[in-house]
Amino acid sequence: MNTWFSEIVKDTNERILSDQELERIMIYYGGMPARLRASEEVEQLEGELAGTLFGELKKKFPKRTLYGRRLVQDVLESLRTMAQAMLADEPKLFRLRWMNHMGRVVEELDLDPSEIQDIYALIQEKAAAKLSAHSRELMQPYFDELAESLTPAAVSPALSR
Amino acid sequence: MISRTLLRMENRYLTGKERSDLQGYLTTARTRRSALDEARRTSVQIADNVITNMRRRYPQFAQHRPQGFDKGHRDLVLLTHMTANAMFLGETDTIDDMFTHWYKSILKGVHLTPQFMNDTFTLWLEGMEKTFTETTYDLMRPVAEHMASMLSDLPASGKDEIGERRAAV
Repeated sequence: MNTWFSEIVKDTNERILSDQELERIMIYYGGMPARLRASEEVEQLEGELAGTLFGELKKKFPKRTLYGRRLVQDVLESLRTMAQAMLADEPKLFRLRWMNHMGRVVEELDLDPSEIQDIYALIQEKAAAKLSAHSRELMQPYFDELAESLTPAAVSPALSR
Repeated sequence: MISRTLLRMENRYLTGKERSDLQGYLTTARTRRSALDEARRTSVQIADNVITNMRRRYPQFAQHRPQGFDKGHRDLVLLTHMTANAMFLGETDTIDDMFTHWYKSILKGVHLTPQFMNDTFTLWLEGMEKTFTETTYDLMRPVAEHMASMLSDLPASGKDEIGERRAAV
């Protein structure tokens, strides 16, 4: 798939990058060190989450059978795609590589979207405590979009994205 | 480099090496931007000098190909621009995928001799060295040498559409 950046590069075949394109790239580069730090922080958080998330979900929602280790692992892997999209400053990447897939699974398995939403809420709670303020700010739009796509009314529209 | 590295990540975080390569590249981004601007400003002048020299070295070429030098001039400006893009992006895989292989197939089709291509690219590289500031040349040179090496690696043509080659003037 293409990101805004790779689309610029493809558009410049047989011509030099324009000032406008260079300006956009340079602004992105300026914010890149913070994105790299945020990605590192999320990576460190994943290590901690892997050990605690399963137990905490069981304790918090004892009646939900969905919360197995495998699901938790899948959700943690989605964090990697979220971090990748944040690094690329490309929400489309997260939508195409994770959210659309998740939307289909929720619908096909007839799951209650709130059960997935609650996992991400717990991850966000942990992230709020562990990530620096700037890293939280960079990750927030992706968490928000994900939460929004899992509200019951939004599950079907999310599939058409 | 950044775009390619990030798209290559599949269900994983950056490796330590990828992160440090990106950080190293980012520290050079402003200088690369200035170098690209310099390449844009001087690309026509570099092409002018190459073509002037090639006209002297291959005086019969225009009889075989009346528009050959004009097209060559256009292509050298384009090549300098594409080289500058690759230098700015910090990698040559993208330019090779999009441009180099395609352009090489065009060059194969026009029956230019390997010697003709070597002479052209030698003059092109020398022109860049004379024209660019040292910093810009240092950044452009690895990509330009890569392009010259890829594009001059052509099979010898059975047809003579070049004419006499004179010693360097």
